[in-house]
Amino acid sequence: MADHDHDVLIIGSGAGGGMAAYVLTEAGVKVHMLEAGRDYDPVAETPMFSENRDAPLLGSGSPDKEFGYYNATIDGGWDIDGEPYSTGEDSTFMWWRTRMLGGRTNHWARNSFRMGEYDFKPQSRDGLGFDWPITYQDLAPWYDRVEKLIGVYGVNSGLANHPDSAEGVLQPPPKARVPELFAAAAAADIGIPCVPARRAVLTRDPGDGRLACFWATDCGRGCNIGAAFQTTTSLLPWARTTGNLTITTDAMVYEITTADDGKANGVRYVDKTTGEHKFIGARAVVLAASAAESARILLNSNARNSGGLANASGQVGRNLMDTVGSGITGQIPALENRPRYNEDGAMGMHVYIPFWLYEEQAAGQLDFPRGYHLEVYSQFSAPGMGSGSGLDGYGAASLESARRYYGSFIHFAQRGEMIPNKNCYAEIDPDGKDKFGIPILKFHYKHSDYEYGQVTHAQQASIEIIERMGGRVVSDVEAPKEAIAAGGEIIHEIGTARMGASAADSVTNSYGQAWDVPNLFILDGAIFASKAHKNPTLTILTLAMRGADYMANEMRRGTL
Amino acid sequence: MKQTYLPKVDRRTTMKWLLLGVGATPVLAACGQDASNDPASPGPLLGTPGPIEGNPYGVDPDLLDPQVTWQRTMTSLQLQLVASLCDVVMPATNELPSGSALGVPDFVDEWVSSPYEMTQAARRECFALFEWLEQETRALGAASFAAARLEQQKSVLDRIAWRQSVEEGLETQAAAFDSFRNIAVSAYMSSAEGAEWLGYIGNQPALGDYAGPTDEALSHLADALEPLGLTLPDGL
Repeated sequence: MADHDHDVLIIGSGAGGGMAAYVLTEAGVKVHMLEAGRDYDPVAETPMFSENRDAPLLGSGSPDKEFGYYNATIDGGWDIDGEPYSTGEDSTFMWWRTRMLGGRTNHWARNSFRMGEYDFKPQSRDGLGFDWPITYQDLAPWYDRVEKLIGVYGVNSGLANHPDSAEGVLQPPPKARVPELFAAAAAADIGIPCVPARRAVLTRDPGDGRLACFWATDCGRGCNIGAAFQTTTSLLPWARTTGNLTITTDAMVYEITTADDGKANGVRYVDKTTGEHKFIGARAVVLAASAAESARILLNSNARNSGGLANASGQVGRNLMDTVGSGITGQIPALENRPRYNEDGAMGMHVYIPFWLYEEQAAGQLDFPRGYHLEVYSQFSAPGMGSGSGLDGYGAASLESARRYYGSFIHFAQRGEMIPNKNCYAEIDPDGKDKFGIPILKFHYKHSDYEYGQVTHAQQASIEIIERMGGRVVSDVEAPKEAIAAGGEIIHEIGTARMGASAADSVTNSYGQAWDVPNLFILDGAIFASKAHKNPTLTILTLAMRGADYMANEMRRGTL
Repeated sequence: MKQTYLPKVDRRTTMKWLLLGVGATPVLAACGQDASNDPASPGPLLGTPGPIEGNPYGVDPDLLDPQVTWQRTMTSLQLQLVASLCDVVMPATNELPSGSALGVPDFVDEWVSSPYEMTQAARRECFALFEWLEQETRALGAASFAAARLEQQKSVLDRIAWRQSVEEGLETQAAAFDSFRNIAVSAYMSSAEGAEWLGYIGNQPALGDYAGPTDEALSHLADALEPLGLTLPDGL
């Protein structure tokens, strides 16, 4: 007889774990969730409306809070005290972690773009990388359900490989602001589309206790009215309402245990409040600790002497990818001294530039594979550290130039697809352990000419738009190898337990079910088979919903 | 007679570290430096600033009750110089109070005294700059930078403050002034008065759809697009 009253253990409370908990508990499954960080209640803790001037160092980033004092990252950052990671020779990798209920969903940018038809069959299209075992059509109805559930603003643009949502799914996007309209006008003139962005921010009250955005206060702080999606104001409280969810925080999982039949039968974790090592059993396990952490747990699990759990394919830890990132900033004279109005808006993108050159690429006219999009950022933002940068001299005239240039800068951030390569992977560092005694990860990462070529193209496109706006580029236009963001820096790391059509070359099937351990489901970014330029969280949520639904059905049928 | 600058006390600078009983902590060790060999140590003119004391605010501070967890370290002479410097950089106008009136010197002190490696470069740069300014104004016959006449202060600043006319050999001082100005003007613009003057209209909740650009803003945009041969896009 089981020594626990739950059926499923879920490791992690972010996008994947949160969605799995919601779907399973709604289906009547008893769930126990383990979260490595502390409990967190955005309703009580979010610094809505707090001013930069009221925070230490004007709220600017510090080694303690790299994204700013008010950012909803707790006990986390690029480095966590006592929880190191290492990198291989000639590799740079940055691993953003947070240790809090809800994980990184508390502070993500909320950019929510669907992967498209081409994105699921990349190898079939250009011979590079790896195909997913599903098509876009397989996932389309799940995207609809997720978007409807969490609330996503945007429109159906009808552009190639940027799928429309079903009728009535999307919420109306906010109006574009002046610099966005300007950029869209310039882009259109040179044949580049600029359309409403899609973000997981409610613009209509859903009637479930969350409220529509009231157009103020940075989403990165979290949102105590639930307008900006995070699991701690939605999926987790909804799952708790069923009475089927128990959450244990401060539980640092380091191993999934297996029975003699090879099935998962529980996990071991460190209770961070006492330092005790504990075991908790389960009928099935959902692993959603984030792509790299999930790979670490698998590689550290009981079959480690054979390369880790669920790793007969040898693919655990491999195929590590992150979004290709770079950026160009311009200054637009025509935007100087422009009339003031409230440009806070949805505190994120209202418009963006989706990839527009699929036909040219297919025709061999581009010297890089796959797509990218450009995120457009420019507004009258809240003053803070940096508001005094770039001035000359002193006195009233010097200050007047700050006012003149305020709101006249525009930044284009490239977010592109990376091709998986054998030089990018995570493994257990034989020489390192964290403060809990858990072996740490060692990252290896190298970009290829595919990514560098894409960066060059994105830079040129950004410059072209800036110049068409009558502006000048004010950022350094570095060579691609210098301009490209480091591996992990865009915080879209994925691929370390990829799904596939065959147990020979993948870790899970299309439901995230491990080939080698049928009652283990991996439902975070680890299972991505490729890294489309679309930001991954929406797809993590969607794959988790589909996988958890399958899991619940299999449990109902008694096959799990 | 110039008035002495008195530090302002606000919610952000209540020095909770004292209430917490956080005494002299090895902050410089955290910054990878040896406290006995503080490279920020200035020359003799403005006195020796205190050692950096206090703690970083940590990775899980109370976001609803922000506190500065370190002590300000500038000497009173440094503070007076910074107050005067702030009022040259950010003079009172008929639209805005001066930098010192808005408490900018306190923020400069907070910044250069913070126990983070990232601010230590600014500490070294700024303290060396302050010594140089003091030395050069005294060389003009003033008792101090703080007591100097405005034209004396400006004649020294003019050697380093303008990008196109930095005196040869003073590039280091010019770079330090650039850092100082960024810190000081950022604080100035972040004040309620500065933000209003800059024209930031936000952090205000509004019901219904986002209002978007005003007619005036759209008209200005149309005027900007026209000479470029661009047209306002539809559907956004």
